[in-house]
Amino acid sequence: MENELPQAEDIPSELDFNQVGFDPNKVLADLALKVGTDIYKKIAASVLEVWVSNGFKKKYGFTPKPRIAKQVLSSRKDASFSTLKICVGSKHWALNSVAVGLYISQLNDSGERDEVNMIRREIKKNKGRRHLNIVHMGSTGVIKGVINHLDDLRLKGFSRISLTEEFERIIAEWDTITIFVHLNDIKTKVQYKIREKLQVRMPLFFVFSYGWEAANIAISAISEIRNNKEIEPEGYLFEGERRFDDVGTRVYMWTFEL
Amino acid sequence: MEFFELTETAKKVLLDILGYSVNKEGVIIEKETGKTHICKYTGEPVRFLDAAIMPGSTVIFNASPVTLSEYFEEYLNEGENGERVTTG
Repeated sequence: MENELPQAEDIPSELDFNQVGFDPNKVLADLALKVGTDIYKKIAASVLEVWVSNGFKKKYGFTPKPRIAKQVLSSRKDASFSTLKICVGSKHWALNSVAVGLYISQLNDSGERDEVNMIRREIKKNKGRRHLNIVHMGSTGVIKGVINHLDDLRLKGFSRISLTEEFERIIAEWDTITIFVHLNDIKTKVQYKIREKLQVRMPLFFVFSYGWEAANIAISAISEIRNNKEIEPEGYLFEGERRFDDVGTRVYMWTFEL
Repeated sequence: MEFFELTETAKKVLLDILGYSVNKEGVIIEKETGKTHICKYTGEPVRFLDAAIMPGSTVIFNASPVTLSEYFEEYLNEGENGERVTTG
């Protein structure tokens, strides 16, 4: 008898997962009172069938911190993430780390540094350095510049294979294509690093600064180089982006693209 | 997609329905075999307190932003049909 498929009348109406105001805690707590009974076994079989067969139509998920799940899911809806999927396909191995990076950028903007560090430790431990680089690209906002670059190439007719190769080259060369300007840097040192890349005609690189003092140094260094006509006349497209995070810190990023 | 935090009782019932229970160390085990349930994303035993239970084929894993993102990548990917590159 226990193995018979449950009949519709055996299933309480509260188990209609699509009903308005569905409260899983109430439904499951009520069910807890029936543990060991035949009706429990039948209902359990029904729930299992629904769960495995259509997974609540991907409608519900249970997690200790629903807010985080919601934010992580929303970071995957970022427009640049969709563009990246168009460029390299929706199955590329790096996509998940990019999404985590985009999620971290939200946390950075709201000043949740402890959680950011915890995620970075987890990525480093379980995924390794390469994925940590990708997360870093996402969290600093550099990934958006990379995606714009890939999208430009796509519009020029580059194939997905070529775009994927370019994306993976950028990931591998992440340390060399990004100049982070720190508040204790001196202007001439920043200029030296930028000129080094311009001289070897690096096709894409970024300058990034966080905080007003570091931004001042970067702005001053880049302005002089631009005024000397060392950027655009040499064939580089130049773009600067400024934003404020939620705690009011200035975040600057400049993209140099051949 | 809507997310819920389950009470301890509710979570235990749902796990029971799905064929799992919790041992005295607070780790989720398979009811039939008694084997520790291993998180498919971290490779570590799934702790009851941290466990996310997600729809699809039964997916129970240690919830963190990283593992949740992996889950979404795997189960909610509704994009085009590219082949997954497995070198990552």
